[in-house]
Formats: sequence, structure tokens, C-alpha cells
Amino acid sequence: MRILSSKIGIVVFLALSVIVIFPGRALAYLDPGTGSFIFQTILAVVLGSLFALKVFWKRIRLFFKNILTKNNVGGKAD
Amino acid sequence: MGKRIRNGLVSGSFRDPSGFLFYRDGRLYRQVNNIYRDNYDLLMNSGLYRKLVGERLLISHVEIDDWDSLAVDAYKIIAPESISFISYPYEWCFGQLKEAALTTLRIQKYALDFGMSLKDSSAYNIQFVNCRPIFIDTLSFEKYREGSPWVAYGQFCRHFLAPLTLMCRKDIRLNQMLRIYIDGLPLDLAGKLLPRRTWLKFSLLTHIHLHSESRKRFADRPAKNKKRQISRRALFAIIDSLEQAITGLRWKPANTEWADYYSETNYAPESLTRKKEIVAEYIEAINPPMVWDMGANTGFFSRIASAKGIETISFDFDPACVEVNYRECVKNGEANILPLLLDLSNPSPNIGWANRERMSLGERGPADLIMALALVHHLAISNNLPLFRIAEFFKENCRALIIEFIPKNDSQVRRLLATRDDIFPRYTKEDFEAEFEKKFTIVRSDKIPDSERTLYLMTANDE
Repeated sequence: MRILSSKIGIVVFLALSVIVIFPGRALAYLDPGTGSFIFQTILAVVLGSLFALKVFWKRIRLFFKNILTKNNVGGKAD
Repeated sequence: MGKRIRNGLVSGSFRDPSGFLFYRDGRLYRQVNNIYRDNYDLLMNSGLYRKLVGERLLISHVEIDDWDSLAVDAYKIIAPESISFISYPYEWCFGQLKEAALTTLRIQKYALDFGMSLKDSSAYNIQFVNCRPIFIDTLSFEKYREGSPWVAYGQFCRHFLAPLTLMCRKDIRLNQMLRIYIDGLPLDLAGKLLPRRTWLKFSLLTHIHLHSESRKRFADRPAKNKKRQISRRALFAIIDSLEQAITGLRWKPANTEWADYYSETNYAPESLTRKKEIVAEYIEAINPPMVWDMGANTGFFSRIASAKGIETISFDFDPACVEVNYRECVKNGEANILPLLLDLSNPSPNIGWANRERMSLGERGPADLIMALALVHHLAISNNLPLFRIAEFFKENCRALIIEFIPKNDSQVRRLLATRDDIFPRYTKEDFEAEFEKKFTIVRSDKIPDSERTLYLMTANDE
């Protein structure tokens, strides 16, 4: 799971990097907090998605684990 | 300390319209303005105040109900718990700044649990009491609005994450940049100074490098993007991610010139024991409420004072010594001692707006007692400071002084002179006593056995 999430993280961030890093004009006299605000909203999507994926992956694992456990239990019963 | 009776506004307390700090007859008060009324009531009634004070994360206060002349815009006057010595982030070692950062995040999480959020996350809102970080700005909490981002996120990265990363990934001395950038390190500057490999670390890539690029890119596009929403869960995810980033930063003091000082000095064990006894006797003779130990190294002699229940500030200019000293305090749960980073040849100045926002070292004094053990030869010989200027400095900063004189024939001084011309004909015991007696009265002096060194107890002369 850790490998999967870090791979997803890298892919998402490469995409994000292209969006964010692509040179924009820096006008320092304007509200310097705006970038932090917007960045948080992007970060929220990324970290939120990673969190959702983590939960989703846990469920899949649990699902297969349950099937395998059931089969094993069944095997023993036979 | 507080023998200097203070009155009037605290000069660093002006940015926040929610209220301000002021002194009356030497006691510190905070006015809560009407504009902050709802937030103050929410802090007090939601259970957040009780939770934070209970966990020693926020200083307690009492409401003063019978204040004589309440201003029109005032909602309440509160008296916060007093803090004996105010210190600043550029005086903290790595471990102290890291703990301050984690404390700020812990507070923000509790605040969100109680429906509030920190509206600023300045490192100056943290102080050290009994060696533990505590939040001192009671008016920093505001009602959390569902969907809104953490308004203090950028400030947190500038005040804590960027300097800590630079200290641990580049050079420990870079915390001194906080002395220049009073609202935290600009992220683009931190990004330029950091090694390229920090781009490969997820937390540093996001919170420093991409964050900085985002600030540049969106600087000219304000309002419409602010409408975006962040769920509470995502907000916790961001705070968790910051917490992981900070926790992952580690620095270990090693191989410094000073951290092994006591094992390398030319003291015989009996001499060191005798020196300790003399210092203890001198401290008892003065019995001061507060001691500043200048050039304290890892706090060996500071602990003689702190063990007697005296508030002791243990200053040294070596980040490794301060770190070792701080870790010792944390490990043993020591109270009364605060290790701080300070270069005595260039002590903390007044900085900030009108040079009045953050106090110089001198403004936080004078100390009841200063200890300057094995220090004068460094000031006089390594820094070319004439003895009368050293005496003048101590006179301005303390009422009593424990000072050690180490003559030229001592091996430590010989070492300092080994690589330079001896341009110090007036560095003698007689000249030392003559210069100091212009400012102080020598109450006692004792020669340390089996050494060339002499200890003095002096009290400042009345002007």
C-alpha cells in the first residue's frame, strides 16, 4: 500500500508541478497570502484523494482477506 | 525579575485588532476589544480554553471584572499568567523550535475539534516555561468556518518548517535568518538555499518548494480563487502532513568544539569541585530571583542556580551546546532553566517595526545576577574588547556579578594567543580589578586551587 500511495503521490505531484511551476508572473506587492490559500485547496484535493485511496485500498484488502479467510475456514471444515 | 516598573503599551502588541497588551504598575494586562467578543466567548465557553490550559498548551488568565476605566472599544481586561523571561525564535536551538512547531500544530488540532482555528501561527506566540513550549496569545483563536482553509498555513511554513528544514538539511546556524525576517523565512529564499534532494522528499516538495511556486504564480490573482472550499477532513490531512514533515526533521549535535569543553579544560577534578562550591556560595550570598549564565556551555554551572529554585537563563553561542543543554532539561524534566542561543559579542537587538517589536537582550534585563565563568578571556582576547567596555556591559545588564579572571599564563589563554600577536599588555589581573572596580564593588574573591584562575563576586555600584 505504501508503495502504491507513494507512486500515486509522485504521479499526481508531477502533474501538479506542471500546473504550479509553469512560470507565472510574481507580483509581490499584491496579497502574498493568496498563493498559500490556493495551494492549500490544491493540497487538500491531493491529500484528500490519497486518504480516500488509502481507505479504498484497505477495504479491497479486507475484502480479499475475508474471502481467503472464509475459504480457509471452509477448507478446514471440509 | 521585574524590578523595573513598567507602564503603558507593550510595543510589540499592535498588529491584531482583537486587543493589545499593556503594563500597569509593572503588571501585564491584555485588553480584549469588542470586535473579538464572540471569538473570546467561544474560546472560553466551548471548552477549548479549559482543554488547552489543562494540558499546559496555553497560558491561563484571569478576567478583571472591576477595572476602573474601561475604554469604549474594550470588552474585557484580562491578566495573563506572567512569564519571567521572554525569548525569541532566533534564540532557540533546533529542538526548541521543533517543539514549538509541534505545539502549534497540536493546538490547531484541538482548536478544530472545538470549532475554532488559529488565525496566526507566529513562532513569537510561543514561549518556554519550565522548558516546555506554551502558547501565549489568547486572542489568536477564531471561529472555524466550514470549508475555509487554514489562514495561518503560510505563516506556519515560514516561521517553523522553512527554518527547521534549513537548520537540519543545510546548516544549523541558519536559524539566525529569523533575526532578519521577522515574519518568517520567505519560502522562495528557503527553497533556493535548500539542497536539490529536498525536492525528492514529499513533505518538503509540497510545503516548501511547490508552496513557494504557488505563492509566486497566484500572487496577482486574488479573490475568485479564495472561494474554493476545503473539507474539515482535508484540513486535518494538511495538518497531519505538516506534523509528519516536522517530526521527520532531526538534528544531532556532534563534533563541536564546545560540547566536550569540561573534559578538555585544564581543571583537576578537585579544582572543579572547589569552583562549584565557590559559585554556590556566591549565589547564596546574593540569593537572586533570576540568574543569567553567559557562556554557559551545556549548563554545568547554570544548574547550581536552577537547582536552588532560581530562574536561570543559560546562554551560549554554540548551537550544539544549547541543544545538549535543552535535551538535558527535557530528559530530566528540569524547571527553572532555559537554555538559549546568544552571541555575546553581538547580542539580540531591538528589531521589527520602529525597532520596537522584539526586545533586545538589555531591554529584558537587568538580571539580578550574571555569571560570567571562563568568559572574559574570550571577549578580551578573541574579540579585542577592552576590559573597561566589558565592565560597562555587565554594569548595564546586572546588579551582581560572578566573574572569573583567567590570566595569560593559563593554558587556555596561551592557546588563544598562540596564533596571534599579543596586543593585550593591559590584560592582567590588576588591570581587570581596577577596571571592574570603577563599576562594581568586589565583595569576595577566591583563587581556584591548582590553577591560575580567580573567581570574584561583585555588586554593581550605585550611579
